[in-house]
Amino acid sequence: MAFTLGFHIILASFGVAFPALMLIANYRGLRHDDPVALDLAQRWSKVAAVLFAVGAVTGTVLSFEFGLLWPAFTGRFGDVFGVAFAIEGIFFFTEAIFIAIYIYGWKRLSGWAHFWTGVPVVISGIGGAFSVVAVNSWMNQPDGFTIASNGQVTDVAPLDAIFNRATSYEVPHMILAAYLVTGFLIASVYAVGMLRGRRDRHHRLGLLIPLTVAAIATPIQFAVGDTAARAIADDQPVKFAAMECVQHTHKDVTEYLGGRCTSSGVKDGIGIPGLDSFLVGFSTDTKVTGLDSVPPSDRPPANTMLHLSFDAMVGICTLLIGLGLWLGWAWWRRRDIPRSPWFLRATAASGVAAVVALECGWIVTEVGRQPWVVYNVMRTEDAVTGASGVWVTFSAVLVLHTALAIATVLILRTMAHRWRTAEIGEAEVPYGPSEPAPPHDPAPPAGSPG
Amino acid sequence: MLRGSGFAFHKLARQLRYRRLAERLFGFFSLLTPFFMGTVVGAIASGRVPVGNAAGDAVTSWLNGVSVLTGALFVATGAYLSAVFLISDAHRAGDPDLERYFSARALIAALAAGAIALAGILVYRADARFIYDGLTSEGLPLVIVSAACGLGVLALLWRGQRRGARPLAVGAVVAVIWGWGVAQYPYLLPQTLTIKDGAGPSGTLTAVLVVFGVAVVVVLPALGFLYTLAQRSALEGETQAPQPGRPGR
Repeated sequence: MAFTLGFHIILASFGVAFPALMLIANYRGLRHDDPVALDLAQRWSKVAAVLFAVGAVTGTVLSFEFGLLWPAFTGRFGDVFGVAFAIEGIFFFTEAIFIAIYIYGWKRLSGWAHFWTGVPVVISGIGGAFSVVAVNSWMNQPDGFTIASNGQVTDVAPLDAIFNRATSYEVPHMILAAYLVTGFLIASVYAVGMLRGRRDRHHRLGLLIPLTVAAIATPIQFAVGDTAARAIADDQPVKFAAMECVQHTHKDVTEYLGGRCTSSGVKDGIGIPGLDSFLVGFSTDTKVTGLDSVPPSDRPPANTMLHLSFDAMVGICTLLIGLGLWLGWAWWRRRDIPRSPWFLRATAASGVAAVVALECGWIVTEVGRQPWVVYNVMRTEDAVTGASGVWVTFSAVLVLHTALAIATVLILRTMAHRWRTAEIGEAEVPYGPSEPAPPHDPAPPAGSPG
Repeated sequence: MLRGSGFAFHKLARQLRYRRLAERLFGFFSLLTPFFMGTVVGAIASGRVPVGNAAGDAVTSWLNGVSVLTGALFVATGAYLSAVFLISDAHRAGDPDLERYFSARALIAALAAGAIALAGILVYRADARFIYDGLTSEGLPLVIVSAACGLGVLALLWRGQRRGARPLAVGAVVAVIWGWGVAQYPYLLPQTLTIKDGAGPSGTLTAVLVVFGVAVVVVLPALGFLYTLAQRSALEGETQAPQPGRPGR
């Protein structure tokens, strides 16, 4: 399940954020009569469709895994959090339908009408992310039900479950993360192309649009993440203590960067006295709850990994802000991307870095909540299936996902290669008076069904 | 997973052999998906799914006469419905060869589904008595409607007519599913778990109903829009060959 989720979270990010990039390119193309931008939008829409389809596949696997692997979790609390998934279903179908209309609408609809068919894709992408992340927020801050004396879950209020205490910071954090990951990953693809000497307008625009979006989103993400960390110090103090490796509750807590978490605090890290307290309550006098506030059986495992994941996420975000500032400075001075090859190298690395930060953030929220699956309500060991043979299905899932990942990368590379080698002439301009053969399906197979 | 990826990739694969591979994956697993769904329905119908997690037998629950037969019925029904729908699509695409091709397959699938359904009467009588009794009493009118619709489609196909085949085919399938619901009522798992006992609390049910209402308002018009666009562009004949992999499921 963790593996499928870790895989799905990247694809889902594309589903959430990629349509927005595609529409920005489309808008630019229509507004400024820019065929390169339109062509980019058309290519991106095809990539978005592939990633959306693969995301739907892994998402389907996930929905089965909920029932198969977590029977007690879904059985007991499905009534509480399930409605959010039903809402997600609506957003998913809306997104799928309009992606299809958008893709097939090139050339068949007028320019602006076609543009507007893309808008529901962006909205439903955000709405879908909201619904799914609301469930994860609920696992961190369960609300919208009471547990009767006989252990039954009663007084279910689905809306209270969806709008729980953590929704307000977890949902924006994840949606912004989706925009960061998508923006930096797409930009990094074009940065690699430019490093290989492909300096045409396609690559410049293909780098600039996603990188600008990501550069704007990064500082906002930093602020939202900071708010989220402070909220976690309040809402889930033990998770926060594990992230920062605070063993005892006290004031004037040192903030450590890096290092190993041991029972006597962080070793080999860089300590900044008082900063942790200051970050939590804007004063070094702030008391930070330590791990010793709960018995050892209620503390998360792998504290060093948690601590390093958290630091890696924050560190990468800081570096990415620097990359955005670099771009902004060069653009302000010369209306151009920075000339240094190091800028392209940094951009090329930013995509992978953003994915690492995404996965680290996910590790922090999931491992940091352990041993609970529903915070302070249900333990993970009580939620998981008792069925035998889980290792067999896990192996199958592992093999299938690896194959799927390889196939996806190969397909995308093939598409890129095909576009690169194709003549970019009149036939490639998506809207136009003359209508040559549609650009997709260069050679549909003869009607040989079966 | 394999069915979905086969569908996602089959148009994009550049080399013919990869495209074939993707199409075979999609085709083969499109057979397995309804088959295993049928085995699950069969497992429930024959009372092999007890209440509780992992309480039933991991293999024999779905590997038995009722399950295999129901799985086969699901595959045949899927093939039958698809073929009937594709006859009209082939006609619209102006391809009489393809039209005959699908007519023949619709006829074969209809006969196969009918034969499996007849065999099913015996198997269900022996091993899924509750459903059998329901289908032959409260559900009987709907079963008759289904059979009548099915025979109607057969007659139409036999005489080479297209018109009316789609609604009749849909009617045959809808009637038998409806009849099944009537037969299984009031149980979710026959004779062990009623719908009432299996249902969530009323707050959740209300919310799900509201969500369903929103879905009807939001998704259906959008789906209609997509379908209209797809059908219209097919009418305009912008693409010569029938589009492989039209959007949607």
